[in-house]
Amino acid sequence: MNDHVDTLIPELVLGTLEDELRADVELHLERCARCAAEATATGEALSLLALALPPEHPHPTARTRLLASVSEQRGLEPMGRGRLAAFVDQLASFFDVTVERARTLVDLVSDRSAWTIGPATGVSLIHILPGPRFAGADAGFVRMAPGARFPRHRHTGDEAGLILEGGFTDESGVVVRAGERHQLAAGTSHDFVALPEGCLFAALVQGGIEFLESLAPD
Amino acid sequence: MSFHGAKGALTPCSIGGYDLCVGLVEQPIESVKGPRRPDAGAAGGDTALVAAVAAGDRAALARLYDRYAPTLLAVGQRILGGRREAEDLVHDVFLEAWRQAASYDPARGTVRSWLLVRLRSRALDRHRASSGAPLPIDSVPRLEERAAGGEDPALAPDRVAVRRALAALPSEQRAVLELGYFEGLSSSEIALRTGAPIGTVKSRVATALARLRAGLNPEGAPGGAG
Repeated sequence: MNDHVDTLIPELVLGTLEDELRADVELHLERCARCAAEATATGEALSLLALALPPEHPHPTARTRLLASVSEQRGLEPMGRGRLAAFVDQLASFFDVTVERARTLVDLVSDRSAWTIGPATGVSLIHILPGPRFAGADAGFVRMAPGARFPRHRHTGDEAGLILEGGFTDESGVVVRAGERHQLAAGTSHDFVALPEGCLFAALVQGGIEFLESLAPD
Repeated sequence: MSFHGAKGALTPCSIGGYDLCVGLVEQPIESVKGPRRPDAGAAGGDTALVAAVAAGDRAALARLYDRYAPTLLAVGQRILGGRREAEDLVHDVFLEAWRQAASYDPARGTVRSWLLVRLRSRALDRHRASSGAPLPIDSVPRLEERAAGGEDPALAPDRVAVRRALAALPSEQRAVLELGYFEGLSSSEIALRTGAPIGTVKSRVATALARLRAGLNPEGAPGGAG
């Protein structure tokens, strides 16, 4: 679907669009910044309908209940584990490991002591052994602090990434977010900057990378 | 009552027994005075709040809740009919916001719409699953029963601007927005309900949203509500 979808955006945003068309329009929005921006603006206007209703004040106990349940949650879950559970299957195929192994990898990511200092300020790493399909590849997890920059480097082989939390902005301005993958061919080079919420991604590098700039901190 | 009878029920400002714009004088959008860009004041602060929530700050979640729970609860109650159910829904949405705050991207919309999209989709799912029966009219709040105090003043100018912009829409355009947004009907269902051809419904949706946008984001609008 190459044509712009302006005429369908109002129905898409309102939710009145028939399912068959919806998939096409959503696909187009993923690829077309102009229509995506149009959909965002239309969605903003629509969400204002909510303000036409008189506000309803929740019972004070509802607020207390909410705050109590979030403190319980944080207490029970090691940082990130709950959110990452959703990625277990994807990680299994990404690294060519079993689902059980992927689960232990998720636990590993949640363990602060597993992280080692990475190649730049605000970047830390966990190295892991991938499955047989990627034998010899450099595999693991990369965590970037909010706004941290991964230094410019060239790939001597193909590189794949699966974003688990937050996201980053590539040098071309493209934003890659949690749940998305990125793929770079051998010979390409790039740098990227973590979004304000930081970034956690799984990475698989075949061949290795060569840094194109000095890695001396400051 | 036939569908055509139902069409007759869609009088100006009144859908499903709920009056969205009671007491507002019909006026052309051009005359809406000084509606600032919606959320201009709250948006920056909201983004910082969500970032703090993502970092595990409960106080930030509490502030986000104080600001938006009344709006979310109103929409939940409008869609579901029952207050208890709507309160549960608001609870779930804020829990989800707590867990997924790190995925919020300001480039994809305001915090207000980020929360509302979640609430509305969950509410419509539950509504469809429960029965799809029309809302009991008595359970739906009316505009004149304004909640006294406690509302975040940052949202008040937006509320006025929205009511004015809605009041400026022809009733049939307002009706498609309300049937789609609060009842979750598809274009073909709206066509059935209102007796209008589907093509007409589609063009009403487009025109209504375009006019709502134009009315709420006029070029060069001065800051502050008039």
